Amino acid sequence: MNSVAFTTFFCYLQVLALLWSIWQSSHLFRSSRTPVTALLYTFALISLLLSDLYWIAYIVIRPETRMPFAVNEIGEWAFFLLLAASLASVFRGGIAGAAREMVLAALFAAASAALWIGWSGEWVQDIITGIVCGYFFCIIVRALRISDILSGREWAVLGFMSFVLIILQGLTFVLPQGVRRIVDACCYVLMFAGIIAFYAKTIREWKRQAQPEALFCLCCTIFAWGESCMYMSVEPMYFAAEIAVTAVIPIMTVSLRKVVVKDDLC
Amino acid sequence: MIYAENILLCIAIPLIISCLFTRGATRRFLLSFLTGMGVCLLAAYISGFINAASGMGARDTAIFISPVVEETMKMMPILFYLFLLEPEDDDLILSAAGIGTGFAIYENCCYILSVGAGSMSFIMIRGLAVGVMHIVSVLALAMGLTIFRRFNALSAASIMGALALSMTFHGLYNLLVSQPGITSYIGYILPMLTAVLMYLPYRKLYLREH
Repeated sequence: MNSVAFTTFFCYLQVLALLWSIWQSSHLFRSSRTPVTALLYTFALISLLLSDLYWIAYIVIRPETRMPFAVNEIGEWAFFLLLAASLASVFRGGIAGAAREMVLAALFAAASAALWIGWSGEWVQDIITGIVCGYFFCIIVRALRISDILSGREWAVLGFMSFVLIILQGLTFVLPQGVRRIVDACCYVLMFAGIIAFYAKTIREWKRQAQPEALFCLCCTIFAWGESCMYMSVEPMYFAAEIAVTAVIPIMTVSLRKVVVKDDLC
Repeated sequence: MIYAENILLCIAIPLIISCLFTRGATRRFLLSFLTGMGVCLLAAYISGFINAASGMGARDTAIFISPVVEETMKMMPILFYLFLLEPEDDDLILSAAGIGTGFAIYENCCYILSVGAGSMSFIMIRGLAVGVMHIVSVLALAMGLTIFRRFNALSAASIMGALALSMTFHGLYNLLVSQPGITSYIGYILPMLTAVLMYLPYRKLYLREH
């Protein structure tokens, strides 16, 4: 299988995960007394589904040409914005105490956008993606802060990993070829250690029967971190990050169900 | 070459005159219809400019850029109406339907004048696929906005998200129909299928409320 076939295969997997999740969340939306979170979440999933379908259609129709700026990226922006709106609807209230984390998240998104521009040279879409991701990251760290699911040590580790990751990725532009490979390998270790750590944290909190809102927030964090890793990876590591992102979609849906059921009971 | 502005004037003048003798929902629909036609012309200007400036070519511009421009242009009057005049949900949906219909009919008129109306299959595609697609995308946007407003979820993120969703739908349609064969048939079915899927819950909701 070549890389296009692999990418298409993983895209099909994500489509299946999305179809199942849309079915579940639309059912939640229809049956819930407080449907706004499920509604926004359903719209977000539909956006990602359309984005994936666009990608598959493009591969079928124009396999020989590289995709220019196209609406599948806009579909991803829609997903981030609507998921952020869904998460924000769960954690209504002030941002007291989260301002520092939000600034750092915005800086991480800005640095990531600068790196994407360095790699691809696509200024306009990378800047807009950076702004959208920045907003999404800010909502996530605010939700993490309000839910109080991360300890002080975990916050410090997350901040340190993000900082080191950006520095190392930046160094790959200036270092000679031999050293660059080592730095690249370190970046992959950091990125996938982050994914594994977030999964482990989510499973641990799930077993502890943590608040549903916190679990939903952790799932969104896995998605955000996984997407960042995807954007910073080349094949075959890209596929590994994509599996992590795809796997979290059904988990996120189940955690959302817990949130909605709890809201209906309250 | 066609003279799009002349066609607009030709269709718009009788509608403007009829606006003087109508009231309420009928007048609102007519004004929205006229707005839709005007928006279609502006979108064509912008797409044409981007085509000339970027050198992408007419086909690639139609596939990749037009959905973004057209959906943004269709959203502008809806947002203007929503935030400045704060209409009822039904009025907003009616206006969106008017804008979508005006856009679709004006675009169809221009295409038919430039290509000809000899082929029945082409006419059916223009009517059942492209025409319906414009109405579906703008109605989906308006329905999304009314639902967000109803549940106090109307924010910049949700509005931009809904806009991006309608752009993605439009872009997917344009991509699918750009190549003859099975993908184009899927593309032609897509708007009508979406219209039916949207109509069923809308009808249920409408019957529940009235």
